[in-house]
Amino acid sequence: MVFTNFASISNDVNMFKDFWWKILGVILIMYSLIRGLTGPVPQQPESAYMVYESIRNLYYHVPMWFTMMTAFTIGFVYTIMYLNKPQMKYDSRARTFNEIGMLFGILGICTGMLWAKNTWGEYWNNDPKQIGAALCLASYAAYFVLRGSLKDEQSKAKISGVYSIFAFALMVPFIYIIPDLSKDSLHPGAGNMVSFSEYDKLDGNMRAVLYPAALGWIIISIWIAQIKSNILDIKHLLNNK
Amino acid sequence: MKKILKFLSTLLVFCITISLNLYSQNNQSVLELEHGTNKLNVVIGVIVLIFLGIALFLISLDRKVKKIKKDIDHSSQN
Repeated sequence: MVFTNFASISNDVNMFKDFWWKILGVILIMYSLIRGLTGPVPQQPESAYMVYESIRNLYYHVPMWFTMMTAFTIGFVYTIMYLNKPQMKYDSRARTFNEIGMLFGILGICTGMLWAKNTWGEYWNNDPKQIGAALCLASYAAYFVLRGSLKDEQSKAKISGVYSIFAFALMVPFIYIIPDLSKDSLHPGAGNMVSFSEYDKLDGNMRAVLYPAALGWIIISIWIAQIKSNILDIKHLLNNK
Repeated sequence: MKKILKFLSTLLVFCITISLNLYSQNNQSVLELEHGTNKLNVVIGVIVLIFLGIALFLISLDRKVKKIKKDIDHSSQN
C-alpha cells in the first residue's frame, strides 16, 4: 500500500533503479537499532572505565566516524577527478560529500562528548583521539571558509580542491596514527586501554551489530549526498538558463 | 493534496498496527527478544518508528528532487 503511493508520485520506472540499496541501508540501521539495544554485550570488560551497558553506544557512535571517513574519501576522489578533468559536476559532488562528511563528523564528536561525560567524567578530556577528531573537523571547516571566500566558480573549485587534498592527507594521521602513538589515551585500542577486539573476543556478538550498522550509515550518507548533489545540479541548471 | 492525504493515511495505519502489536502482548514481544523488559520494547518501538519516519521522508524528498531535475532537464533540452 505504501509503495503504490510512492509510485503514484511519479510514473517513471527509473525512479526505483537505486531503491534496493537505499532500503538495504534502512534495514541495516533498523537491525542495529533493535539488536543494538537488546543484544548481548560483555558485562564486565577488562580494565573498563565503568562502561557497562553504555558500551552499546559503540553501535551508534563508531559508525558516525566510519561514515565520515568514507564520505571524505569519496569527496577526495571526486576532487582528484575534478583536478584531472575540470567539469563542474565533479566539483559539486566533491563539495557535497565533504559537507556530508562534516555533518557526520560533527555528529560523531557530539555523541562522543555525551558518552564521555557519562563515562569519563567530562565532556572534553583532552584525549588524543578527541583532539585529533577536532583537528580534522577544523581543517575541513577551513575548506568551507576557503570556498566561501572565492567568487569565481573555477577558482573556487580549483583552489579549494587543492586545499582539500591537504585536508584529507591530514585526516589520516589526526584520527588514526597520532592517537595510537600516545601513551595515555582513554579510547580503547590506544595507550593502556584494552582494544575493541579484546572486548569482543568471546563470541563476536558486538562485531555482528557494529559492521552492519556502519554499512547502513554509509549507505544513508551516500543517499543524502545524492539528494544534496541533485539539488545543487538543479541550482546550476536554473542559473545557466 | 490527495496524494499527501493517501500517504499520511497509510503512515497512520502503519503506526496503529505497530503500536497495537506492541501493546497487545504482555510478556512476549513481536520480535522475540532475549533481553529487555516491556518498557524497553516500547522504547525500541519508538526509536524504530522515528527512524522509519525519517527514512520515509527521505524517500519522498528523493523522489521530488529527482522529478524536478528531470523536468528542468527536459525543458532545457526543448
